[in-house]
Amino acid sequence: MKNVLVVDDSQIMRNIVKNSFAALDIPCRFLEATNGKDALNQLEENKIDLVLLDWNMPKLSGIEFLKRVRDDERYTQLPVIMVTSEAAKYNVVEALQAGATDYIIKPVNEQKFREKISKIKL
Amino acid sequence: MVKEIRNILLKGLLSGSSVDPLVLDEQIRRILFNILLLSGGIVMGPLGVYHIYQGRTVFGVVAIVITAVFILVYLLSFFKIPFFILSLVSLLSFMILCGFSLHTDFFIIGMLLSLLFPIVLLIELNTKLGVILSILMGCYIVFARFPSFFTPGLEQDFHIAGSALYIVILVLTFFQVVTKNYRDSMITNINNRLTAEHEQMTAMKDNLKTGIFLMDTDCIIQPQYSNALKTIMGLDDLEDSDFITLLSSSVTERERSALRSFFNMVVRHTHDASTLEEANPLSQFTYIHTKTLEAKTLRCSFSAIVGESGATFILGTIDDISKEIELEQQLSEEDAKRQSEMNALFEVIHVDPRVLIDFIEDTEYEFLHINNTLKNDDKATSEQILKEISRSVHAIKSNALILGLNSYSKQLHAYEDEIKKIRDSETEPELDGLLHLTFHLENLMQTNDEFKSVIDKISAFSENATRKEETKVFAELLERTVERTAEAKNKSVNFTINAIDDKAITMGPRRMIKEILLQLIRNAVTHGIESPEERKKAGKDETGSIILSITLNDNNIEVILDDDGMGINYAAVAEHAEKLNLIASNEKTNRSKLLQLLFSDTFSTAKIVDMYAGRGAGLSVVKRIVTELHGTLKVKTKDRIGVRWTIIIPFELDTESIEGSIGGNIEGNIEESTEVTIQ
Amino acid sequence: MEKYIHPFITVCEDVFRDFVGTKLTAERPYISSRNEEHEWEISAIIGFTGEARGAVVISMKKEPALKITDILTGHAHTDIDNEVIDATGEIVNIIAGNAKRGLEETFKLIISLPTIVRGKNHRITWPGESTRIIAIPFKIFESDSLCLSVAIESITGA
Repeated sequence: MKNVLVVDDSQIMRNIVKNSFAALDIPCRFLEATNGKDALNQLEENKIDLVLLDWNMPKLSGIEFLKRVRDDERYTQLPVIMVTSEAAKYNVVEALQAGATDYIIKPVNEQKFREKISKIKL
Repeated sequence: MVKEIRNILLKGLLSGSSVDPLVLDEQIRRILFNILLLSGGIVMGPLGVYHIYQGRTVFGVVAIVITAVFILVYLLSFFKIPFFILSLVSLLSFMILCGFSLHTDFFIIGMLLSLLFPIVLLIELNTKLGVILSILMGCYIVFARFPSFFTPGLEQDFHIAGSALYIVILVLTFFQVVTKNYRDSMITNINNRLTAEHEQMTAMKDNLKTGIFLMDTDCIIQPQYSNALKTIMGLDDLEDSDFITLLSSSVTERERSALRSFFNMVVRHTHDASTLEEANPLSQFTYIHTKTLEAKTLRCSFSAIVGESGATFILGTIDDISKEIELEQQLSEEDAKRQSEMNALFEVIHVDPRVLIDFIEDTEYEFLHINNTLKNDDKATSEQILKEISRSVHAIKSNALILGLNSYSKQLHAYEDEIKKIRDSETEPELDGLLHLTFHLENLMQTNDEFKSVIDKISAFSENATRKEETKVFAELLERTVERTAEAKNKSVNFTINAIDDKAITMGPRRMIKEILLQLIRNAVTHGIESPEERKKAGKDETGSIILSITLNDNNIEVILDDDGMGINYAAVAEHAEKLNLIASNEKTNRSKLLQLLFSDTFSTAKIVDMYAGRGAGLSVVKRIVTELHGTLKVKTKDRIGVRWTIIIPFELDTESIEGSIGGNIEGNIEESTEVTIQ
Repeated sequence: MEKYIHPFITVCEDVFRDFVGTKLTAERPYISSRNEEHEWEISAIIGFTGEARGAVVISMKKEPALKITDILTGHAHTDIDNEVIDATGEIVNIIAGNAKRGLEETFKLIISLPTIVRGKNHRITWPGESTRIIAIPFKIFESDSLCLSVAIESITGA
């Protein structure tokens, strides 16, 4: 059973992401956070196997969260996939530079999702 | 200084030729040869002289002769005489000298000299000849003074040692030359292979349409890149340029630093290829040449490669996809256009044909009006003209909207905007702007034509039906107008059509008659018919009545419109005319003057609130139309009783195509009567 | 369509100014129909084809034509005779020639040699099917009129 942390300030989006992920038939438990700070707390309290992260959030943005996470030596190997509607060309570079493992642009294409998840070898 | 001396030296040793790496072998041989000649000559000359001086004349002379030969050969070498001849000549003379000295007292010297032989022969001549001559010489040396082998003494020592040495040197030199030749041929092979490969690579990269290049980890472009890259980037000397700097006009500074991060990621393989490809900001972008500012759409992809030396490079491929993008855009534009045409067609189909016909005619009339306004030579200012045009367009647009012809109303709205733009600009409109308006107007007319053709196709199916329908539609329109106006003005009006001649309507100038009637009816309801209270007070029925008859007599269309209102309100007319400074105070009771005024342009179109609101009184329009139709207009008005309008228009078939100018002087007949002639 | 006309207008203005010494003042353009009655007495027709098809017609009454001839030949004429036609033709040739350069290079258009038509109420055979003509009136010699009429339809659908 894998722990997947879904971070997005919109309930609707969190549900959509959870549903897309659930369709992949990987047994997992979903934990949720509405902003970066929350997400960091969740990380502390649980053993997380994968983070699905949005970009624009209050308190701590996705990018900020990412940088904090990578700075922490406990989480350097933690898979973090950015799932966001920010689609401008230079966004992807920025996210990857900040430490994202991969990048998916919303709306989530299930096929793409599947491919990227399989690359991570949960 | 040193360099110059070296150059002179080289020139001297190469007999005047310059260094040429392709024939290096030959040149080395020549250098050695020349050194031999020169050093030999330098040594032997003085030696010969010395020998002569010492009394050994023959030897001395021979030495001097050979020296001379050497020097001569050296000088000759500057004259491009074949090397083979030169070397053979000099070597033969050398052989003679050696052989000669072996037979004399100078045996030792001869022996020593002959040791040089194998080396010289093998270097200077080709291997076979060199070996043969060397072996011959060797035999000669050994057997020439054979007896001395057995005579103990210095000579014997020298002979034996010399012969042995000779053989050793010969064999060693032979092998040296053979192995050297072998090595040379190996090198030549490798060279050829490399050259062939290089040529193939160059052929490939020069003929590729894709720009391919390598960058080092600092994004500096490496020397080997395809020609296409030059064409695509529009730059010639790309080697050692910073790739990212070349994009300084295409991409912002922040983006450029993001690009460096991206390339860094590529080099360090931080993510797999497909993720990096997704992150590639240059996967499709607009490239703007830093100097010419020419723009192209480029597609790029990058990957890291490791060279043989272990250094990492970024392999970049760039394609110019500007044409494809343009084509795509064109296609999507055409698609959009077709789509909107379809939409327009649907809109048109949904409109009742009879209503559409009306709309088309109204629109045509407005267009005509606009065009005539433009054509008009009278001194109306551009502002007035533009305003007038604006109003017409607005009217058509409103109609279009009501009918649901959204695409057309959008076009009209755009036209309105254009007019507004010209009106808003402070300066007087120029030809360009007006020309543009005219062309645009033509476009709108074309669209109207398209509607017409749709209608024509539909009505072709039911010709007779439409004829009857036309009259019905005409009547309905007038009825609706009475209703609407009455409602707006809080009046109660009954509209009756006593007679309406089919032929007159369908084949006569229907639209113009409609214009006239609409105007007169609106006036009748607005100003003629009193409010229900006033009517009651005046002892009339609260509901007023308007009666229309259109008949065809003697080739004339007779239009009679009666109302039972209060008649023309001369007093109000006079007052307002005075306000507009159109009459002097003493003329206020001059009814015929007032009547004339009613029909005048200024009065008609002046903004008089509450009196004749909207598009002026419109009576000037009526007058104009009647004039144009070559008709007559009579008005009979009786205070408190009502007004009768009688309009007589000559009936000519095809009067629909009358398109003339509207305007000009008063030509129609306007009669006035105060007699009571209506029931 | 307009883009084809601008060069013509500019060339007309230039040619009349440089060769005839008179200023052309543009007035309000309007729309006219191909069969409309007119009062011009002499017209020069310049046809073109290529990516668009149509014609440009320069029309005027007797007076300006006579004045032009007067200026160009030094003789006064009282009616439109052969010399007047020649002079008018000359001017229009120059206009067509100059316009040709701009139009043939910039757009894919081929300009024909001008033809002159005269007589009161002469008919102009317009190419194509469009019934409407864009007319641009000009004032020439301060009080005379000249009209540049254009009918163009695009072949390529532009």
